[in-house]
Amino acid sequence: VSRPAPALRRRRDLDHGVPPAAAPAALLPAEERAAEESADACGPACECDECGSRSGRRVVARSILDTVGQAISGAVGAVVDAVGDVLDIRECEEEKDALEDKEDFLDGSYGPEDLRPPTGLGGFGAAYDPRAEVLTISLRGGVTFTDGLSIDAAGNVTAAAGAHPNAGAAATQIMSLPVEQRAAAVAPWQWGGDKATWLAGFESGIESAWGAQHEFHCTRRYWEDIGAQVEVEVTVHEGAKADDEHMSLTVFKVPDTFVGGVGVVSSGGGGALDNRMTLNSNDIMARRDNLLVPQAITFAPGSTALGAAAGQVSVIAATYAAGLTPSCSYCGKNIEGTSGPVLTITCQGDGPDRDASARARFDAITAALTAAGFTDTEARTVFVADTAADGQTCRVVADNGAAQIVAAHEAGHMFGLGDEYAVGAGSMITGTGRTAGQATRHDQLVRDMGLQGSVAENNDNIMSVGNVVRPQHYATFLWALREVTGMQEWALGPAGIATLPTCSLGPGDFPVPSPDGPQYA
Amino acid sequence: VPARALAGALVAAALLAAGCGGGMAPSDDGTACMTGGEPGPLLVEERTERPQVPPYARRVTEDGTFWELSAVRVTVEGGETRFEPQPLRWRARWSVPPADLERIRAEIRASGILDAPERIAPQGTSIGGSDVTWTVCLDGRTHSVLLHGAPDARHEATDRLKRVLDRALQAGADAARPSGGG
Repeated sequence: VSRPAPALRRRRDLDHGVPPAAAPAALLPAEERAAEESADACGPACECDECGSRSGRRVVARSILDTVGQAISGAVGAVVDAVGDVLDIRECEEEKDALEDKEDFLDGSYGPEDLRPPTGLGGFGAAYDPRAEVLTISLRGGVTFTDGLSIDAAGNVTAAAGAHPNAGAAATQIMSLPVEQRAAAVAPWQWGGDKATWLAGFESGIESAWGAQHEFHCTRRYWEDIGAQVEVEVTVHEGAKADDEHMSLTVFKVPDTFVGGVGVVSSGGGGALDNRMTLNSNDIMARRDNLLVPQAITFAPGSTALGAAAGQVSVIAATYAAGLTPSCSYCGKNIEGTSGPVLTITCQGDGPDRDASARARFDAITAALTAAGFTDTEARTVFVADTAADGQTCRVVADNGAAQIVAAHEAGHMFGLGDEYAVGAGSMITGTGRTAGQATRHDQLVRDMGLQGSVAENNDNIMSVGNVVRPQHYATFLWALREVTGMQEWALGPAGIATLPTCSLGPGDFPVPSPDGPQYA
Repeated sequence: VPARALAGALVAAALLAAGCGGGMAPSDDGTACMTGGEPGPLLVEERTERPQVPPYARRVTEDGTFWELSAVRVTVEGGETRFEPQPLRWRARWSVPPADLERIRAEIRASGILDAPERIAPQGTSIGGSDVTWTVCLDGRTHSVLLHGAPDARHEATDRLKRVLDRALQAGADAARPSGGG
């Protein structure tokens, strides 16, 4: 007999409020359960050697389990098996039940369901197809196109209510133009025939940014070969949001040269289908005020002393302060890419020995960074010499230096994630964010993934000031997968090979696949 | 003492150089409309603050001077708008004509902004929105209204005042042009 209430929640069960039962892992011996849980906590982000140890036990591929399943349901023992199943008296009952449950699970469909994560932010659809092993995350909405600036018949220029402050500055400047020049100046702030292009760019930009960045696998015993690739589907149209869509989106038209993202996501009390997003038209492109590239530091000719530029270095130190250092909950190893942004400092040199001059300038900057409170300076700074010709400038780039695409960041809020960027005294980034090291809104969900957490920090993370979707940013997708399947036993990382049945279904009762076979791919 | 006096003089010179020379005189009603070294006495100000970027503000002082606080220098040439960083400080732009200044005062009284809630925020959770603070000072009263999470946070009084302020600033810009209105 299948284990009672195996925590699977089919689509047909979603409305019945069936509480999830204890996970099957609870039936395992304590030390084995501990090992399972520890291993489950290890995703690819951990890079722990120990994390891979479990893979050696996964020696049975899905094709074998299919064969086993066929054996179980074979004609020879069909009736006996059914009776034994009911009475729980079959040989290898636990393993057979697990495999039967698995077949039931694979025959099911899960979602689509509109969800708002426990962060209280955003909303999206989630559906899981177990045969295709695809988790589809959908985002749907209606778009209102709004002119960033307007001009009336008398030549009066006004910025749209809620537009970015720099639109107000532009309006002020255009006000001062001769009236006959104002219409031409306002034109780039007004929508024309470019709406369809914008809609397509919004959809594809978010889909490519968020889709297929990481994947999940099932951690239930014997089911470990079940995976979940993540596909993101975005569908937006001009006009009001329909009742079954997640967001109403307002887009201010600005010139492509406009500086300043305006991204806003507001989530009302109506759940997954009650959200508003605001963007500028150029927020689907890389922002022009790249927050990962602070101003260059310029030295006096022939000098390697910072002088007045020391203040700039202090700002850089405050801006790129490290947050806490998340580490794998299994082995304690720091998780790559989350231990503070790395600064690449490209220095020019001058004088008789340009290389030495460039290096001395780099050293002066790193010393000043440390003095200003920058931590792990040696590990978090990289020197690059630019000595093809005499020069006095050092350019600082944080992490990968790629300017953020604001629309993709805002989509992260629709997926339920909070901001990760940090503000603080002396930083070049102001606002209502949190100080470096403080837990973010999605911290707990990240912990639920087995990672150590999420903290505020200015780095190339998509929910900070960059574009990189790291494992922690799939926290709400993993939560959604658990919700729609009604099963908690999912973890970060690709599917493995199912655990070998150890009873009479063990090695020798069926053909062993070649290690080179496709089942090992 | 000489050092302190010298420091005071340097601070005053710095303030003047930064365009903050106005507003140092007390207003009729005491200190209610004073703004601590910034241009004043204040009549109306719209200040917008957004995450990750410096604030932007428009202010009209009692004498009708329009001041702008911006870290972005905007230029328009050949129909193309350019945005360049500049030091964040107040800059006097032009003066609002007396008739339009009086319209602003009238709208402050009529719009209800003096009695509007001090903080207006949309229900639910908002991330990334602007904080727009309207401050008015008139007839001995000072009042600020924070729209937390604009553009979702709005109030009729501030919408009304914005329309009148926009018209007044445009009128001032037109009047400041050599041809007197472009």
